[in-house]
Amino acid sequence: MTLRVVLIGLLACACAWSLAIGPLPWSEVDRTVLMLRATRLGAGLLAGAALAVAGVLMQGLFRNPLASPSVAGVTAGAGLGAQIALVAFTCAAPWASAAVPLAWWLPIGAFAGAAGALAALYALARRRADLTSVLLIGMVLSILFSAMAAYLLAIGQETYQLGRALVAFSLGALEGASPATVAMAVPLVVVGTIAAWGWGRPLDLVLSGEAEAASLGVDLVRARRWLLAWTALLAATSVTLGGGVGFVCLVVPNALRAWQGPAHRPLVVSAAIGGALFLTLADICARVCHPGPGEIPLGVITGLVGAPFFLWFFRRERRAGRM
Amino acid sequence: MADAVMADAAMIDAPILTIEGLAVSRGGRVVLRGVDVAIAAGEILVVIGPNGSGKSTLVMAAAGLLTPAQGRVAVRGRDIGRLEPVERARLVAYVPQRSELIAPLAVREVVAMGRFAATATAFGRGSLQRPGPADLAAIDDALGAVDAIHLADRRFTELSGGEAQRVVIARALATGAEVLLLDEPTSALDVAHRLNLASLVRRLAGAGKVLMIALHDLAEARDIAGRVLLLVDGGVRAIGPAAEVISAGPIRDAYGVELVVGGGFGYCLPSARNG
Repeated sequence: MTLRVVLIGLLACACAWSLAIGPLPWSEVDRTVLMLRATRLGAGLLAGAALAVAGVLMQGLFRNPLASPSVAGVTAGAGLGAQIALVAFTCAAPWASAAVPLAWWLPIGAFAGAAGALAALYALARRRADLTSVLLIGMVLSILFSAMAAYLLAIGQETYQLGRALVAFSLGALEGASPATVAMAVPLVVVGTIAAWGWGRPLDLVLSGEAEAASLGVDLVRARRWLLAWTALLAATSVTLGGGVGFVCLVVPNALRAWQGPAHRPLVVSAAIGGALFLTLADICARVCHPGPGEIPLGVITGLVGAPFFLWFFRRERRAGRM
Repeated sequence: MADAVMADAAMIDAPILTIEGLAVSRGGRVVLRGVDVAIAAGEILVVIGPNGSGKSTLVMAAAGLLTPAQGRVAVRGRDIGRLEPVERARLVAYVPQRSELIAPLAVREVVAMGRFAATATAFGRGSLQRPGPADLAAIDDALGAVDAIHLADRRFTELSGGEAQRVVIARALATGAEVLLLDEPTSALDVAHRLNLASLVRRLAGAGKVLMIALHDLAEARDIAGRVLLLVDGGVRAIGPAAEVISAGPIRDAYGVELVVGGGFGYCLPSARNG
């Protein structure tokens, strides 16, 4: 409980800081600037919460603390889906582009990509759900999706704007999110988090293996189907908001699990708060730490924090004989 | 009046767990074939057999965790293959030979897992940390039954093999299920706790539970069992009272060893010796 109070306090400070970077807004024009900053902050909060909760769900389902959307190729899949949607939107007949706005194309593409990646991972890693297999299969999928995304990028470079949008997606960036996208993401993240909380009890039982969980009354077929769907929804929402931001889904749940234990319901709540905090801080860092004008891509910051954490965690699991 | 008495007698004798013509394949290999057995309330059926004879498979299939190739398993006439997992878990509890749980949950939380089917809906209240009052009582009773109250606040991952085994048995007891299926529950237990488990099993049978227990140790099987089922190559070689099945002929037949009865030495609890 105290942990959550501390997290919420830190989150409030981070929000205030995030809004206050740059000249203070007094005039009418500056209010627009504040609105832009608020949109960006909202995108960060929602994307961070969605990623961390998706991480909790995926780690629980695979019984594997390293299985997270970004490590196992799910965000790469979502990113590829969104990029395909972006290209399709640009190339589609004008009437189709006018009928369905881009704000809808992106999340739908991202969801399809995330769901496809998860389904492939689950089908391939199901029989051998040990840590190494899940990681290796996820990594292969990730490389495959990135290669396809790179191909899209090569094509997209032909058009300046499309090329820029595609790059922003693959590196991860919050400044691209429009107020409409953020508004659309609010219900998705809230519903996804509540659903994740609801699945917390079955996930606790899955900690003792699928056979034991089934014997205690968990409907595994149903649980798998729903957990994969909610993970895909959350990962896709975060990708729509911030592109391919890595490692949030790995760092936040594992740090919190070490702190407060493996039970899933409390973990989902803390992860939502912790993920929002982590990504907001990373975004502040992206804006403040860059020498000269411009910013560091968000994915670079989370990668710089996440990669050492991954290596440290991997070593720890090895030493404990769990790998 | 006479009808009521007759009905009562029928209730007592009617088998609770019935396994009919059960065949199970795993990985393309037939592991169980044509197993027929019915167990009544208060009865202890011990399953013995050489390694690889299908004991664990029989216990898992009886728990509804494997889909039969043929035949069916029913509890009070209800085919458990057709029940929702939650309903099935309310009727049948399963204790694996070794739990796969590796998360550092507190022992009390592990036993609380057993209450999932009894109280759970997906969005139901309560969690492993904060079970309801009825759950708390069931959890404490279960921990007491396996002599593990003192372990309640320890981390599951820090327990010895035998302690962990008792906690997993407590989790099965906490479900309140009428049918208990145990797969070599004593394999990790020391002598004293084996004897405690044997007396617990008898007490449970006395309270009307239905027990099916796969065991390795023939002396223990003879000690605990009401009836014994001898499995060889996935088929029932013999079934009947313990003294009949665990006797020279069937044992030589199944294991290729000579049974020496009455020789050797055994153990008993001090209370039993004094009493």
